[in-house]
Amino acid sequence: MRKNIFVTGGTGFLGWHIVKELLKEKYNIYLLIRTKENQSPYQRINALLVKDFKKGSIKEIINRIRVVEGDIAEPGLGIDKIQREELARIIDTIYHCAALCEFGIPLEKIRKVNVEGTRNVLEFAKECKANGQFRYFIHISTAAVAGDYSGIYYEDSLDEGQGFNNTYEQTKFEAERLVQGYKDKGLPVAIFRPGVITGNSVTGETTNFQMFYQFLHILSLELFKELPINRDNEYGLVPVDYVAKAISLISSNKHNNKTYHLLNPNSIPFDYFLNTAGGYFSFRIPRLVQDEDYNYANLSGFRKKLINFYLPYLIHKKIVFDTKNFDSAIDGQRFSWPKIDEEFLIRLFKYCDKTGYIKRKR
Amino acid sequence: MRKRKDKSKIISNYNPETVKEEVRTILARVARVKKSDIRADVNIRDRLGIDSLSAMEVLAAAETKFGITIDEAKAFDVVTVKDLYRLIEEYTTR
Repeated sequence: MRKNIFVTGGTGFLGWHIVKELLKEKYNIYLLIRTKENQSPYQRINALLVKDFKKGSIKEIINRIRVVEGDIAEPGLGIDKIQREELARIIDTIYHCAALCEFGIPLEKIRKVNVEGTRNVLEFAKECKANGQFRYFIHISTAAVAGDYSGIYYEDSLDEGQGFNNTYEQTKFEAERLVQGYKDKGLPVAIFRPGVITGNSVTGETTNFQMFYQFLHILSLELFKELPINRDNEYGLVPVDYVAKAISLISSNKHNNKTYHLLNPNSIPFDYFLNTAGGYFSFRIPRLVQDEDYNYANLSGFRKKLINFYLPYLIHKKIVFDTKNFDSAIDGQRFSWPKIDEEFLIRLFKYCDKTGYIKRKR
Repeated sequence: MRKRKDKSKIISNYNPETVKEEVRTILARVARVKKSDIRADVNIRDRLGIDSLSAMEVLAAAETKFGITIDEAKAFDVVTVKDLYRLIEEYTTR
């Protein structure tokens, strides 16, 4: 029986959804939290608890949550030796969700968190394994480790000689290679690779307006008359609550020690997303031009610099993510990915409008 | 559409007051603040919370608005709203 779970990145967008899933079971959860933007770890977790739980249930939940002040980017996770030894004796499962998920961060800076941070968590897992009850390390990776690979990418694939479009992809790849190395030396590991994560499927809520959302924001600024596209591509968006649910279901069985692709087979073409967004927010939609026919000379200055972060995802050569491991692990768990339709997308857009991230023109 | 003369540096002529007004509109939109909060002495990163990607959005929007291409090295020196006015004015006023 697992009992004491250690979570990194538990106040993050996906991490918090995973923590909420774990709290449904009667586990004790140890959250590694750092001070961020003058908010103490306690303030950060309290804000989330108050937002998502009813007053009556918070008391019981607080009894099962322990805040561990620290930072994955520091050796020993920034936890003092005595506390770390205490934890190492009781922790049986680690969910490593912490990572910097932004484009445009310089390599050395993002590597310190995504790669060296992962090494520090793995070292802690090793201490746990040596000292006590440890059974299972769950690493949150991303389908983006496939980089610019084209063809069928398998769950058991990692290094296929692919290149990387940005420092996020590169460092998440390096982190996974590191995890794989510890796994080869006997650490029990499961790796999850979600595709493009969107806001909550019920509320549309997101706490992380990066990547998918940032691209939407750029589109709303009407900076481009035309954009290149590879029309062979479709996008398997995965809502954060479904991703957390799938991870929680699969990782509830420690014998699931493989790598799992979390991608929505109900994929949509880019046009569909663009037209729905343009219709809702009333922004001018760029004309989509097949990559080979696009005039790249039209892109210059900061418009070019900005769109360069997203171009790889528009003109990517076709890649298919195989999901055999996922399909067999989730079989019989009554889980299926949602259909991505207009109603779903508009729920996400409404949240952007409500928070003022992207204002709908009225 | 203004005619583009030189791809590396395109000069178009705008009244400095128009430039200021448009730059404030863009900043307000990207930083999601009221236009009245955007004064010349305000630090763009610290006070308006504009990170490096958002800063690129601001500059790209200015490029689109004025039909200019901004030199990346020059954009490096922009700290305050006033710096940004000056930078855009370099390209837009004769």
